[in-house]
Amino acid sequence: MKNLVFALPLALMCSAAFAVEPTCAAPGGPITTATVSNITGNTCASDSNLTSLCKGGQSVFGPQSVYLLTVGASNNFSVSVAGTAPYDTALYIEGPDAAPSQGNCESQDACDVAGSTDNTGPGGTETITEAANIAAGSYYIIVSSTSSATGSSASPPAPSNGCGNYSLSVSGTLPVKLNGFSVD
Amino acid sequence: MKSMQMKALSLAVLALAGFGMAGSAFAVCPATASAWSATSVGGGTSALAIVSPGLAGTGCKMSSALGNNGAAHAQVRDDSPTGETHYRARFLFDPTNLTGSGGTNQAPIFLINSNAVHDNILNMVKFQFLGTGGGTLTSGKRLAIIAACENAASQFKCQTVVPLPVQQGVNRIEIDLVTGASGTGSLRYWLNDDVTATSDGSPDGTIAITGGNAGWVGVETVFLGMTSPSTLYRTNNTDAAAFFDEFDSRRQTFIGN
Repeated sequence: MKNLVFALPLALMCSAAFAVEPTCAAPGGPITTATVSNITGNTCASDSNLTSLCKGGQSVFGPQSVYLLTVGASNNFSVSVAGTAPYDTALYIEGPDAAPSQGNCESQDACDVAGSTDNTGPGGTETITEAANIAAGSYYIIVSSTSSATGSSASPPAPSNGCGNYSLSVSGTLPVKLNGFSVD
Repeated sequence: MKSMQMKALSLAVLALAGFGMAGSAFAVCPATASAWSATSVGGGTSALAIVSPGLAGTGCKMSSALGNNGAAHAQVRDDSPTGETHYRARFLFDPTNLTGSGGTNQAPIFLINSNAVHDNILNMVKFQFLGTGGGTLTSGKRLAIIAACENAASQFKCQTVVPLPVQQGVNRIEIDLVTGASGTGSLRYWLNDDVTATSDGSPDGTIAITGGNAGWVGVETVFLGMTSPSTLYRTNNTDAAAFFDEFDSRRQTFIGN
């Protein structure tokens, strides 16, 4: 009979809101467990320090909430975020980053590997499903919005649905750490 | 830092190998824009391809189409600039397939980025496609030219909106960006069809860089291709291909046609 024991890091409490909304300069997490659900927050309480992501290749509107995600070998996972209407979320994963503590999500990381999505409207769920075995390392999960252009000028005002309540979930294999294994 | 000569040569090769190939109307085009630092495509059905024929008599051009996704992008990226304080670039842009309806019908087409965020902005220059909107320019396909500047009153953006001179066909766009303090930092632009002769001394416009742009240090990364569509752009132009060709960039000398 197999007896598998998995480590369950306590660094991240599931189903609980972070007391302070995580930012690029001070990301939440790191998320290291295989399945984390219902990390709740409100991007309106975060900062709007970024106007573009993915090495400046993509525009974002409204504040951003940022989490660190630690990925090992043999990973295969999905990240989802659901906004509360009228909030229209967008989801980005940037990295890997060799020095995540320096807040490099501001400019240095491309989204080429991990991805970005804003496929649904207000209140919808955005999901990024990674191909198996992306490079191990630290990635940023960024919850923001691309909800855009409410005026006719080149720089329209920030949209009213550019921030709000959200629920973030990670599922799959990062992988979890195997602490012990025995066959009886 | 690389020499000016090497810089000009390397980017000229980028243009030629990427989607130049002048002189052949129906050339066999490369499968990818491999001469660039990276190709970045994502978001729904977004697609980037090198297709024949090219623009203005070249063999191949880059096709960039965005899917129905707010984070859609279909771009090539050039990482060869290294904090350039004087940066010139020119490319051809064909918006024939894009619908110009709606002032909130918007998507950036060309981005010039600094190495680090300053005043919450990384894009030193952004060229953005716009449809018909309000203000004094109320018809046709337009272009917003937005430059980072040290002016808090305008959210650190100095900008203008101009109509595309060629609504159905090829536009030639050239810029000359100087990074510096107030009075030194500048952005000049040339916006014409693909055959009209231009000269360094006669730009079609200048963006007043209020307060200068020295805080952004210099050009580090450049993106060419469609990205970040607005909701109305997605409604009007999902999967519609815009075309790009003849990209060139230099430190000092005017490029022209």
